[in-house]
Amino acid sequence: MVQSVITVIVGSLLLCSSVVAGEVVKLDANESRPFLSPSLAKDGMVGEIIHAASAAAGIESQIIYKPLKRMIENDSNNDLGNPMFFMNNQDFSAVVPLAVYHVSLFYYRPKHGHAHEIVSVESLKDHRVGLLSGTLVNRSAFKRAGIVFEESYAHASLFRKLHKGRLDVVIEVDLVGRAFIQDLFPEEVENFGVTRMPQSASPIALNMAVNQPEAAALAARYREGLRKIRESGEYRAILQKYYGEQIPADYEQQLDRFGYIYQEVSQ
Amino acid sequence: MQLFAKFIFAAVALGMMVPNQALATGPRVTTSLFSAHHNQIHAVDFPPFVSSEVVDGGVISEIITEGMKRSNVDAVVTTHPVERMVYYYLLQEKVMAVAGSHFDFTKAQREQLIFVPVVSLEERYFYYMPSHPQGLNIENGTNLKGLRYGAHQGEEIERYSKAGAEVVYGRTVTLLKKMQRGEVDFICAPPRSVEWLLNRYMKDEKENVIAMPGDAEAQTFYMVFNRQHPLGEAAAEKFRDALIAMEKDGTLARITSKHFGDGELGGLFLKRLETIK
Repeated sequence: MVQSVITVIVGSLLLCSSVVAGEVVKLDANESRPFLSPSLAKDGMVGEIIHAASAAAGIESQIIYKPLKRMIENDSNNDLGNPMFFMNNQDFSAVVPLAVYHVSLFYYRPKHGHAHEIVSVESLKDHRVGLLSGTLVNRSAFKRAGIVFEESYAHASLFRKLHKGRLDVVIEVDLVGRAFIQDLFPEEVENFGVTRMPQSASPIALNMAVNQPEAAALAARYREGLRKIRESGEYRAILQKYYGEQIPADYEQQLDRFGYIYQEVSQ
Repeated sequence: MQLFAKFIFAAVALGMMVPNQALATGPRVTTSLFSAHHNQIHAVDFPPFVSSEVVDGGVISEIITEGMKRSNVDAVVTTHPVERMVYYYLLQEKVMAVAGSHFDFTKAQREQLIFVPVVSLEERYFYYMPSHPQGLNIENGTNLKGLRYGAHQGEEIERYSKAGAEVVYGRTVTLLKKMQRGEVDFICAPPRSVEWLLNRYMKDEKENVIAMPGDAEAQTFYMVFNRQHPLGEAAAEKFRDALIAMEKDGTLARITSKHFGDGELGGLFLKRLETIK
């Protein structure tokens, strides 16, 4: 009995291994520091996770950087990023959430003591709020509520305006905002306040194209690799490298939640 | 036809107004980010009727938002690209309500849910002209052998499979692409959805996707309330009453007119409101 179980397991492993034997799995990504960037060691936080999970699963993965527009328009590629950005135009055979990011309100304490009062759409009215161009989703709803955002194509510009008091609040991905503040105002990090938004957790996932050969088996191996590096503590060490002591309390729970939501996402 | 053309123009203009996201891991700044204490109505993305890419979330989204407001329930509509995610929020996280069509719940699940029809949408059959240069008409489709029907998850497909058609699943946008690749022969969808998606993602194929003559069966779009949520039953009752009131006082006509132009109510009408167990 035990022997037959072992045979089945070994057989399954051999079958899975044959999926990408000698092949490189190509993953398209859009540079978004510190999550994914060719200029960061091991491609940044998500890059490190991908490479570690791949090594644990015996897969060779290659990250190829492309403009986001090209990634969205291409409906036959493997995408790295928030699945919501790609799914309107593409069905995937598997989605493997690798990491979680949150959105935060950033403010500059010497000019604006706190951001506790921003709890609803209406409460934004009395503030000068900055955000990155292209990130506003419900534009008409905000406009109807009388909220006008100051939009910029450059992260740095938003945080400089915040520092000068020309903006009260900047809405930005938590880790991205922290990295920009560290780069731009290393002596003043403590002067910037950060309020993490409670319903803002989103996944960064490996979105596997329908035409990826043996996609289901490959996704199962990536999931197993991810499980192994989470269990060994390697995953946590990667997070600590980027978050320091600021890892969101619900991070692991949200990663499990997104793993469940996207587990059977194929159409 | 003129009004329809106007709508297409409006959709294209809106598409141009909505910029692409700057980063694949960027913040998606939605009203729900600032509504931590509100209930979220999780809806399946169904452009142009329910979509974050359309002004005010689309006509159905606006009807739902107004109906919930009148029901004195703080709620915001959040859209998701795949039905599976909406099922998750309803059945696992037990949210107050979700919205969509083509739901496929088990009998036990249905007993915990209250279905309130919001709108009924006319549908047409479509085919891809280059694959069928002589045309395709399945109006009296008792023999569909050799054809592949592109169905949405949860859609009733028995009549197609009984008639011999192979059934291939997908979302409307991916079914259109499958038709273009020759993997699907015909699909059934609301004409406005098809037009919107072709304009948004397959502009060069607009002339090649042809509507068959005659209407197919209408598709009903539901609000599905959860009896397992403390507000579920009461909210369903209030929402149903609000929809009736909105029809009587002209609010539904006003919202529809805003999205599709005056006189376009033929394609979007309120069905008899009833609660289905």
